[in-house]
Amino acid sequence: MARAESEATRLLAETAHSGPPINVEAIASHLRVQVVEEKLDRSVSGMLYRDGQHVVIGVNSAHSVRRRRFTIAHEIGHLVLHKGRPLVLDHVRVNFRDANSSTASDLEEIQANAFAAELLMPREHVIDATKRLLEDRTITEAAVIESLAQCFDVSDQAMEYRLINLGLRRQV
Amino acid sequence: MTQAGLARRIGMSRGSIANIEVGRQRIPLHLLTVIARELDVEPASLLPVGDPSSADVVPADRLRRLLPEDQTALQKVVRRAREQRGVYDGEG
Repeated sequence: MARAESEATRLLAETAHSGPPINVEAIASHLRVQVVEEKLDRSVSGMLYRDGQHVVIGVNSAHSVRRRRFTIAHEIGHLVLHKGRPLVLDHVRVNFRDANSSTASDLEEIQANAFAAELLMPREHVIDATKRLLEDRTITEAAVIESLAQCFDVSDQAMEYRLINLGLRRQV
Repeated sequence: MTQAGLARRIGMSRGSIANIEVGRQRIPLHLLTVIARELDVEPASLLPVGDPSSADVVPADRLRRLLPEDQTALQKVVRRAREQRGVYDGEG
């Protein structure tokens, strides 16, 4: 997991991002990846395909913008972390895989999700933003999640998982 | 008939004929009928087989291992990607 996060951090530094929301398309183009939006079967969230000289990320245009951003980040994770696989097809899941999943492909999904989380919701930025929001002592947990989700342009669910994983949820 | 022979009869260079043969060079439609007449074959017999918009987008052995909806998704994405690049650089 550590490698997934450090690779995301390195990529953010390389592309000189300017804080949230992270421009995930700019990062893709920095890596010379072509992002294609297509209306796909609703079971498919996205894919990474190495087409000869070209690397293509396909995203399901039927999904929301925030979800598409996460998918692109997730596929970039596969690209950076899992070299040599010509094709990765990702499907919609009700829940993110838990850390007890054991097959190689489960592990790769967990790594790609960890990478995407760090890319779109960099640890330091999330911690800072959460602290700022919590200065308002009357703010509700739902309002914190919603506000952070908006700031980082990710789904509420993705932000909630991020806060849990960063150990910030109980403070919220 | 040799490439040089055909080239001479239709007024092109041998290099052009070689390029057309392997798909490196595109030709105007009327030239297809001229070449077919010289070779005494039907123009259609000189065309690649199959629907170029769907064939060879993704290698068949790779597709076969996927679910039908995944095959469709992959073909759609690869085709759109190639359209956006403005090139058809597949094997076909």
